[in-house]
Amino acid sequence: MDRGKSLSRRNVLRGGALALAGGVGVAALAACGEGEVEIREVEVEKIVTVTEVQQVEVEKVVTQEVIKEVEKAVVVEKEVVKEVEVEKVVTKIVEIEAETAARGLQTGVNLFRSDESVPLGEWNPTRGGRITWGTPGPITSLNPVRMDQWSYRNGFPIYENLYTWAPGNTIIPWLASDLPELSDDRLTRRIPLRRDVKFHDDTPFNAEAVAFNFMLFLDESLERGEVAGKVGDIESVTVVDEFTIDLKTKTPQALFMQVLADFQITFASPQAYITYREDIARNPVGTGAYKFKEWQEQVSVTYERNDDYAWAPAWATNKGAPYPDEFVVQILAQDAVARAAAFEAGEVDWIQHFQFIDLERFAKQDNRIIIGRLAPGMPWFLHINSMRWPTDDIVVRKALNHAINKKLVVQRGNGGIPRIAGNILTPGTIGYNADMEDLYPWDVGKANQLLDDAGYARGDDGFRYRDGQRMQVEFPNTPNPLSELYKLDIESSIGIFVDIPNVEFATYINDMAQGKYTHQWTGGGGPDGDVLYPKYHTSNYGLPGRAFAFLNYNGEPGVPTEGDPIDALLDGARSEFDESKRAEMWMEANRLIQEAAVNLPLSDAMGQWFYNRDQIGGVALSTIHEPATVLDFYDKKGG
Amino acid sequence: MAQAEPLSDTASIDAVASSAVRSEWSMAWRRLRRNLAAMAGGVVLILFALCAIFADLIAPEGINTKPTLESVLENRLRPPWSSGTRVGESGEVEPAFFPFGTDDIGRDVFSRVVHGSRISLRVGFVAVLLAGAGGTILGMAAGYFGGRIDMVISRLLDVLLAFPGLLLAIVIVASLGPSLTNAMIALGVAGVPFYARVVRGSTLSAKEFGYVRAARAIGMRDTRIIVRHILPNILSPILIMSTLGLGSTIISAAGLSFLGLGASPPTPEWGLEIAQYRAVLALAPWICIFNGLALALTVLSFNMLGDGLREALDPQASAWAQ
Repeated sequence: MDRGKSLSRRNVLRGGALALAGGVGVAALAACGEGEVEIREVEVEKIVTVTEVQQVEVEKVVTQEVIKEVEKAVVVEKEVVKEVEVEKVVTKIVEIEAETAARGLQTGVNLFRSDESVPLGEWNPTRGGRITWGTPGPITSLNPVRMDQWSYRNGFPIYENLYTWAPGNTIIPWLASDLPELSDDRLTRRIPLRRDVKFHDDTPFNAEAVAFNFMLFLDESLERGEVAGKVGDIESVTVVDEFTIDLKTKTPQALFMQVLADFQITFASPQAYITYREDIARNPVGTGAYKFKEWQEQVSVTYERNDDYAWAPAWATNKGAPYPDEFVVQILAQDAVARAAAFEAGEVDWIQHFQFIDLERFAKQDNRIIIGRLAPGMPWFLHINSMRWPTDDIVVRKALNHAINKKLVVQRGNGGIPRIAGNILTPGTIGYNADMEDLYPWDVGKANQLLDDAGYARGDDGFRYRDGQRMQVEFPNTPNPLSELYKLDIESSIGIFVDIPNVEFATYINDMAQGKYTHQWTGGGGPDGDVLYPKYHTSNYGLPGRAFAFLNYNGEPGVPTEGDPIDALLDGARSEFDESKRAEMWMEANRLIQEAAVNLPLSDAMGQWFYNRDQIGGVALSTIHEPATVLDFYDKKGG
Repeated sequence: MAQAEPLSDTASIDAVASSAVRSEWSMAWRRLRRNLAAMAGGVVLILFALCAIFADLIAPEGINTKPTLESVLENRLRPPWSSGTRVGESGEVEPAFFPFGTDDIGRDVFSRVVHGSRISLRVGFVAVLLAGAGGTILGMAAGYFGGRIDMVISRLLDVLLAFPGLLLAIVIVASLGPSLTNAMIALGVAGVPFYARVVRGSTLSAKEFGYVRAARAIGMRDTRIIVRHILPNILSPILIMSTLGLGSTIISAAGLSFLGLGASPPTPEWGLEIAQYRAVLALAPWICIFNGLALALTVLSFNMLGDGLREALDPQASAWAQ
């Protein structure tokens, strides 16, 4: 059994003191020898004061604990093998179909899998200069406790994970020194940490620091960002020794390595938390290859090279400090035109983009390389709210599925390069149910027949009505390149009015959480059926930016609906260590979701990345959950 | 007989006033006809008005024509003055000519510009009508009655005038929710203080005219004095402001749509089209150019006509200004 300290602020600090004292004790033992020497040392200490006698007694206890833990680590050796088997997450990868690749080449897009390294040219690194990327999302905070979706994607040069996704969709250690050991009851993971890592403020990255960060992640009294959704299964985090932690989950979690490898669980210096408190959001101190330098509100965030950096993950070509002096994140959020213009003008070296029309334009320029990344998981799809009229009627949902001309609708978004999707999971994703592919083929006649039979009659204006109410589906104009074509297609095909109101972003998020729209444009990459969890597990309904009402929603945001069959399957898969059984559960969830017709799959997800090869060199790797690494980039501008 | 006297006086005052107004209007029309710029503006506006009224006949494609996959792939981003094919109403493929080119989903830009004229003119007229009506009522009430009514209305107008017009419109749209209808209302409300201020000043001056004082002296009701004697005499500045205001209102509406606070796709509103297709300005500049030209030409025409009207209706002030 683990006798480590329970997790609370006081105990963590006390643990730190004890560990420090223990370290002194161990060092003293090592210096002085064993057995009798230790007794003599205690006796000498006793002479001084009563307080110090107590201190020495405590030290002795800690010393014993350390020895015990070491013994246990040896005993657990067999489990390491089991753990590696269990935690080796993905073997299946979405292969790029020949047809898709041909469509890409025709347009000038270099298509890669989401887990591949892509050289931007010859490897000829030069030191110095600065690299700049134009981000499509805003940065709100650089406090790991508070960070949101785009803050992570923009703050990644300074923060790092215990584990990381690697080419081939595998998970490898990063700030951890090895894969974890799993206890017999499959609840506790013992994670060894690297010993050579330090934060940007020169404080050590050790078990205390990791535990301190987890203490904050788990503190429900704090206003937490996306990390809250990742640590919900954690029971406790315990310091074992200076470079080992035990991470215990409430229930067996077969996919927990993915959680640790996702970019939400990253670590800041405890000293920085104490010094800056809330202001750490603007004074981030991590372990990354770049250190924070400057934040210009709504304009840019500048990072500078961490010269001490020497703990890059195994896939990085450059294992040491990055080549450029500076790395700049140019904030061009939500303005695709400004982003493309900045890229074209050479103000930024690379961008992530979502408009096919720009892709087409830049693909014709020799000094640009356009990389399309195809990821497994969910396709680009339209979520359908089953709790709002008229899409609460499965007939309407099926009619929408039959009616939509997917090839037409996706033209503006991706030019029809990726495969047209017919299921909520894409082929190659673990848990993909092939029987559900194209369950609702394009058949406008059938769609109209379904609606006619269900009594949705057409009015004089060509739209369908029920009880005097015009049938209408709606989603906000975010803006989305697909919206207009969807409206034109659905209105003319089956006479359902499509409303695309303009709303500002905060209203959109709030209304979406309350289920005020029938549709939501969304998607999500991932190696397996667990990607369904944030969209279809009822505990996620009603949360900002999440899926809204679906099937058995009980109306309580964040609270699972009791007895929901999809909840049972998704939860079951998370605690099932047998990969094939897990896949079966996801396949069943896939079936239930598709038969309920609560989504409208459009095309496989394709991330679009544009690089200016005159300005930036190196290797681009965008792992399955992003963000693209910057460790291997260097400035070619002669900076 | 003794009771009939005042009535006959009232009628004669009305007759004198209206004949003076009539002759003033006919002189103004003569002056306007001699102003070439104003007449050119008027002609262009008539053309746009015809486009708006007969858009369905003039435009080869309907406002909500759904492109087919074939038409998207075949016709996308064709430059101006090019030919192609389109699926007609009968469902058969027919030859098509695109004088203004096509957009990124193969739609005829000319058709969209023509349909856009209906939307832009409607937005302009409705907003100006709202602003003009509201401003005239408030301004006349303040100017004619004076006292506390004037003080309350004038302070309210001062508050509204403290905000730039477009900013005020943005605030109103933000609170009502972005849509084309709300943009019209917002621009109308934002325009009210400008009209009210001018109308108040004109009313103050007009109510001192001899026939107005005479009408009051013989006991004519206030509403009759306002409608029959003051309003016709202050129509000139209202008309000039409205004509000039139409141009700026259309620009503001396009601005609101450009900012995502007005029309939403697929409405072919000029401002929205420019916002949507500025992304492809380098690749397909014609979409923004033709929508921008239509917008600029309309506004320019309203301004030219407005200037001409000002000169025609108030030649002394215009000469003094020059």
